Amino acid sequence: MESVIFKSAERFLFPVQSLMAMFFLLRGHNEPGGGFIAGLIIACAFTLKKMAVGHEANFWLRSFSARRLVQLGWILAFASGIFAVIKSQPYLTAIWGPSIFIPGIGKIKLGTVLLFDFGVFFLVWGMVMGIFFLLIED
Amino acid sequence: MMQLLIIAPVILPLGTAILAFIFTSSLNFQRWLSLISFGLQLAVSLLLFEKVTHSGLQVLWIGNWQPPFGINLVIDQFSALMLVTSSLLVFCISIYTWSQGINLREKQLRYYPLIHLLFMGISGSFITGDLFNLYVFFEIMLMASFVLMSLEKKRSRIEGAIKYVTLNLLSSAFFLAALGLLYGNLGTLNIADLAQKISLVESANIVMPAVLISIAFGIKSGVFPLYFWLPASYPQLPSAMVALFGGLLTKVGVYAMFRVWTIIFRDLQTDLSSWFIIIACLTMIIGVFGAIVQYEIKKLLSFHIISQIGYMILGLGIFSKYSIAAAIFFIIHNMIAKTNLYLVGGVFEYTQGTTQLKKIGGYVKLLPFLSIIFLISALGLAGIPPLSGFFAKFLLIKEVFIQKSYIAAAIALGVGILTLFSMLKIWAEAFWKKAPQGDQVYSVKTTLKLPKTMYISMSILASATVLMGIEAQTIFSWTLDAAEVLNKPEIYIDAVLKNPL
Repeated sequence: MESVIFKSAERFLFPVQSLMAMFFLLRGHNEPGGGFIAGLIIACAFTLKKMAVGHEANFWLRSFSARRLVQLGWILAFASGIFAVIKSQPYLTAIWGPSIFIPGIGKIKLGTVLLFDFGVFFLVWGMVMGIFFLLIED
Repeated sequence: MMQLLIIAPVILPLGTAILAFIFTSSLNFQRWLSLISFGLQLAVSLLLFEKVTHSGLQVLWIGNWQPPFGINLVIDQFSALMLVTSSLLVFCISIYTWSQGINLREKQLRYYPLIHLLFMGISGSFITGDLFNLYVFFEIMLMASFVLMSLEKKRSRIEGAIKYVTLNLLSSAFFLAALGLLYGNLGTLNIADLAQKISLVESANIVMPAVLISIAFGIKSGVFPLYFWLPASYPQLPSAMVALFGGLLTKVGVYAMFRVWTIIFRDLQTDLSSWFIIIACLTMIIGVFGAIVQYEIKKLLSFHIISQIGYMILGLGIFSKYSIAAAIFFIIHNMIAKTNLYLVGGVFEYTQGTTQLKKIGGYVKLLPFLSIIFLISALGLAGIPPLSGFFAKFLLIKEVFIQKSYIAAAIALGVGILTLFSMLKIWAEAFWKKAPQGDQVYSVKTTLKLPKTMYISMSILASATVLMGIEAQTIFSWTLDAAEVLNKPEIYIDAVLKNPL
């Protein structure tokens, strides 16, 4: 798609969307947000990018392979349950660590739940992005 | 350790699927991985079975959430038996598909992750103690099997897959609607909790979800008015895959039917039992008549799946402890025998490239050992003593007589004879008659060699059929234990809800 307006708008949208995704990802769990929504947002960001610039032009866009993202997400989500097993609790029991403060988002409790959220994030990102990219190429 | 063991039937296939999805480059790795994983699965199931036999129901609340709010896994005798049988089957199928023989397009390498996901759905449905979770596992199973069906982009196969997925999505919609109604009325979807609270609500409010849920499971298992997708989609698949689908997927529907009707909707059951018996009889008759006219092995066997589902539903309809035990015996026997028959059908596909009975023949001379395996499974399915099918049918029909449903018993016996007839048709056409000569498109071979792996897997299943006949007493005592829990839901409820964390 050759459109100067679209291209320049996309240049501003991409960082905003990525930040939004990170915000929703970290805010999740107790408040609205979480891995699924964040994954959808970032997948939209990448899809817009690809529509604007086309993938030949953009080297680093291609380094995010949808397949690898799905694999990464799957592993993270699967592994988040294993920690509980090591501590001889039922699979997927939440184990909480210390809290950290991130400016702009607030206090975040580290734990296996966050890891699971990250897993969902990558999985949804890879899945949705893969589907969109296939559709664009057609 | 026990906690890990209870959830192992779900996370073992899941972990294997992830590994298989990451390392897609090597076929050998994938084969060994699935063989080891299914072997482990069999070992885990046996361990669980042993555990359940000796120390009662096993319950796990995932993530340590308090009952009844969390999601739980419950393993009773029934689910343990189903787990053992299904993991034996997938183990044998993974041996069977080892050699390149079967037209599975193994090289596409998408087959392996999917088969593990499919199995995760199956064993998850067997052990879950929560209706919504059952729905999720059904969806996993449906999606995995749909992609497996459409792996090969042939017109006929895609057509079958679309019929399959459409009707099964319809079933999911019914299921979900039923879950919504149940949750609206009772505020819980935990099976044990539902069973406890169901008597608090007027039965008029329960009839609707009960009927909807039965339609959903009826589509899954292929009972009489809802079976159309089955003969339309299964015969299009390669034999090893249809062995897996036909042997396992429909039985998951039957399992779920047993679970909800015995534990949750118990009180309704007594009013509706005559309906169950009528539907069971119609399923038996329609299935077997459908099979008689077929001359394509996979189609013939697909109609037989339907007919045999009728026997299982009949056991549920009679609804006594013995009839349920006999029906569980029947399910186990049928899973093993039916899968093996499909695998034998796969040999025809492998050697002659066709499963049309008219185009093959002379196998009794070509592969004498195969004919023995086929005879054992086919006669077992038809119910010739001393094989497993005889005891399954004998126990079931005896109980039907005792409960004075004479017409149903007569139909069950008649259908048994017709089953024998169509098994003998396969025998006469494929094994006994001379290989067709003349202007055949398919070259007729005079000598055949089968890969050893095929023989091994089929022999394991055939000897399981024989063993089930010899050890019928022991196995029936296990299924009686299973029926005990289904017959007295208090055992189940107590084990789940009064389980100290």
